[in-house]
Order: sequence, then structure tokens, then C-alpha cells
Amino acid sequence: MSLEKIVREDLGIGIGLRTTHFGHILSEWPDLDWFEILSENFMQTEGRPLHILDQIAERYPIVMHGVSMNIGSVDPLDTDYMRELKTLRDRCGARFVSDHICWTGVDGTNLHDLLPLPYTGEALEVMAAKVRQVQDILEAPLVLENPSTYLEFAHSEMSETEFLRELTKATGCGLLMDVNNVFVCASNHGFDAAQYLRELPWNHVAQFHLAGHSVYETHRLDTHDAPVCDEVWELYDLAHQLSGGRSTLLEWDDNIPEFDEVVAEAHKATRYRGEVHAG
Amino acid sequence: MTEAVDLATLQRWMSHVVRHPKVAETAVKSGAARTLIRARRVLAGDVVLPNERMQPTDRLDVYGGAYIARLVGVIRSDFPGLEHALGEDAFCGLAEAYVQAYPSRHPNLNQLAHALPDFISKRTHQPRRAFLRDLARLELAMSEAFHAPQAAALDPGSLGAVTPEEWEHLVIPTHPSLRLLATSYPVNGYLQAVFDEREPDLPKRANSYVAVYRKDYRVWRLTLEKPAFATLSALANGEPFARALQHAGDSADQVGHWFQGWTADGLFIQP
Repeated sequence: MSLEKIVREDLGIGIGLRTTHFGHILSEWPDLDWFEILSENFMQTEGRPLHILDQIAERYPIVMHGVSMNIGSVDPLDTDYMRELKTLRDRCGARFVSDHICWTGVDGTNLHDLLPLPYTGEALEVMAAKVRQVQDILEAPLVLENPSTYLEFAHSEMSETEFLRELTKATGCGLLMDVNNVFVCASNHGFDAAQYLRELPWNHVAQFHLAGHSVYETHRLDTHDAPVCDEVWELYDLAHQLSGGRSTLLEWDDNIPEFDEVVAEAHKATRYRGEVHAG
Repeated sequence: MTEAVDLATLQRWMSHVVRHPKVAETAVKSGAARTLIRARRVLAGDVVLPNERMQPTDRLDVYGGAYIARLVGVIRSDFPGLEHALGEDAFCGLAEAYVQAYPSRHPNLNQLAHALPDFISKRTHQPRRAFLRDLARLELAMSEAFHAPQAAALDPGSLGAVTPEEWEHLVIPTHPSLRLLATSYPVNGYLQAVFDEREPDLPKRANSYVAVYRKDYRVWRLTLEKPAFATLSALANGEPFARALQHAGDSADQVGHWFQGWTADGLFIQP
């Protein structure tokens, strides 16, 4: 599928598929536009989660979202991982595959975290080369998410939005715009979140993420354990106006409430999506 | 003026600092980190920028704290029996030491604790080491069985046409999820008591035999007597049926009954 088609296909409002909701989904088959899965939860395993995913993928559109591609690392691409990722994509018929603009480890060690990159020409070259490699393997555009970050490197040569623009220009990849992450980073690093959104290459943005976060005295932390805060909804409103409408997903990964409560939180997005559609 | 750091050096340095057991202020001064980037540069804000609320090392600590909390959390979710036996603080200490000794080298976290039983074996100062190792082996086997490849169970009807001569040489493969454990402590009973919230005492030493397997996408544990364990282990090792029978010893007359039960439990797959 071309990036243009991915961007144009607004799947509606989805939520992250989580183990705790398996029973409810299998018994109720609730009305929901789509699910996003954490790719690694269904890789290197043939147990119950994969069996349940097979059933869910028959009834709902699926998008795959990973955390271990390690695409910003100087390590070579893990081809075993990529092979398994592609097999899973083909098995569940995922509309597209996404991961994060980050690195997760080096020299073969995996820290299992979305670690920040310096925004330099060198990092851009490393990432662009690997994005091209991934897209060749997947035979489809890769979609990459802006992460929440808690530090900035002194030798960065460009802003994050400049880095994203250059990356999309060099590779044709898509972007997954996590509006909560934009807000968290803007707060942690002191930039203007609305201006960040205005600087994006919107023709590459394929999807939105929404989530809750935690507020500490010194910083905000992307914890996915609470409702979306008002400031993030305001930013989503702007993002929606700028984009004209994109597939939207709510992430809730800790202290996960009942399925219906997660869906109700996600459906708050209809308020903003409706305004664009009406306009 | 800020001196550029190449990406490989920066990532190796940050990997050391984040994985270091102490806070970043100490970690950046450690030998491994200092050989990559001088601590003075880091503390001066020449690598990671400070902001009005946080020094560079405070910002690195956000990652360091999350790293160990996340990985200990993953181990905790797969080893509730071990945590019960050790208590929360000692369990966290063990898990943190394990993560230091065996940092993850796999993109999937379900591989993280693969060497935990061996790690416990090597902790010579660890009280109740043999019991804890056995318990960790059982819980690791459960995790492995959960994730193991899927395979269609043996249809007992398909064996109807096997002649007595063919039985002798028949090799029946076991399900990929099957794990067979001979332990020095009765850890299966202990773990069940933990699951049942019965607050079990630490058990006395006694040889014990357990089969762990997955059926209908659930993980099961089956305590076995030694002859049954030896026979099933022989079959799992690919010994032909007739040879495997010899492991049953005085219980040879039980083999038919055992085999029927194991087949019903889905322990075998089509030859």
C-alpha cells in the first residue's frame, strides 16, 4: 500500500489491543473501528495472544505498532526481527507497520526503551538508510512515531520537526504523530507545541496517538496510565484541523480500566473529528 | 562551543550510563562511561543539556530509573512464586543483579529471564539457593510453554492401525511446549499454594518430577512419579516406544494408562 493511500484511509477511532480486554472482546465483539497491536507481544510466541489475534483480525482492521526495531541505532538492522515482523504483518493483515524515531540498544544489548537521538546529519543518515532497508523488506512504507523524550543533546543541529521533515523527504516514510508526546516534549524541553504541529509535513502523517501522562515536579512522563489531559485534547483539535482527519488511537497501558471506559475516552475524539467533517 | 559526539560513541556511552546500577552522577564517572565521554563534559552540560529544573544527570536518571523498573517488572510478572519465596526487597535485589549480569540481547522481553535459574545457581551467597533455582526453573518452564510453537495434538485414532511390531519402533514426538523438570524440592506444590494464596512455608528437600505443557492455550503442570517421568522423558528424547517402556521399571503395567492420559492431555503430536 502506498503512503498516500495509508494517509488517506482514515480508519476512525481505535484503541490498543490489551490482554486484559481479550475476554470482553471475544464475548461482546464490541463496536469499534480498529485495533492497534504491540507487535512484539505477538512475535516469538504461538500462545494464546496470537490465537486471539487471529480471531480479532478477522473482524477488525489491525495496525501494528512496535517498540524494538531499533531503527536509530548504529547497530545493523536485526533481520530475524524483520522477518518475524513481516510474517506477523502478513498473518494479521495489518494496514501498516509503525515503530518509533529512537534507538533501543547498541552492540546487541537491548535496553527496551525509546531512547532519544541527537538531531544531527549523522543520525539522519543512519536512520534514513535503515528506513529504506525496512521499507524494502516490508515492501511498504514504514510509519514512525515521535517519542516522548526527557533530555536533549547539546550537539543537535536541527529541531525535531526539521529532522522529521528531512527524514520523510529522504525516505518517503510515514509519521505517526503522538499528540501526547508532542505536549510532553514541549513541556520538558520548553518549545511551543502548536508551532511544532504547524511545522510538520502533514502529507506524511498517517495516524494520531493520544494518551495520558504523569506530571512530576521536574518533568512530565509518558506513562499511558490516565485519561488524556485537556491541553492534549486542545492540541489534537489543532492537529486534526491541520491534517483534515487521520486514524486516531488511544493508548492505555498501565492501570488499564474496563474496555468500555477506554473506548469512551477514545471516543472523546469524535468531538474534534466531527468539527472538521462538518466544516 | 559544544564538541560533536559521533552517534556510535554517544549510544555506547548512554547505554552504559542508563544500565549502570547507580545514579547517573556516579555512572558518568565510571570507567566504561569515562573512556567514551569525559565526565567533566557531561557535568558541564556539554553533552546533555540542562534545563531550569534538571541537571544533565537528573535527565539521564529518568532513563536509568525506568530501565531497571521496567525489566524488574517483566521478571516479576513471570516469577510470582520466586517473589513470594524471597519477599519483595530480596526479589528486586535478585532481579536487578540478574539484569546487570544478563542484560537483554533480544528484541522480545519474553526472552529476558532465560538464564535466571543458572544465575541463581551461581549465587553462592544466596540462602536456599537450590530451592530458589528449582522454583525459577519451574516458572521459566511455564513461560516457555506459554510461548512455545503451536502443533496439532496426536489423534489417538490414528494409532489404531499401528501393528505391535510397528509400536516397538514407533517414535512419537512430544508437543513443542512440553518441559520436563526433575527438581530437588517439591516446587510445584509450593507454587500452587502461592497461586491459591495459602502462604506456604518453604518446603523441605524431596525429589519431585513435573511436566509443564500447554493445552487449549493454557499452561498446565502435572506432578509425576519417577517411573512415569523417566518414561515420558525417554519419549521426549526421541526414544522408540519399546525402549522408552524400559524406563518404567516395576511400573511397566501402568504405561498404557499413562500413555492414554498423556495423549488426552495433548502431550504428543502426529509422528
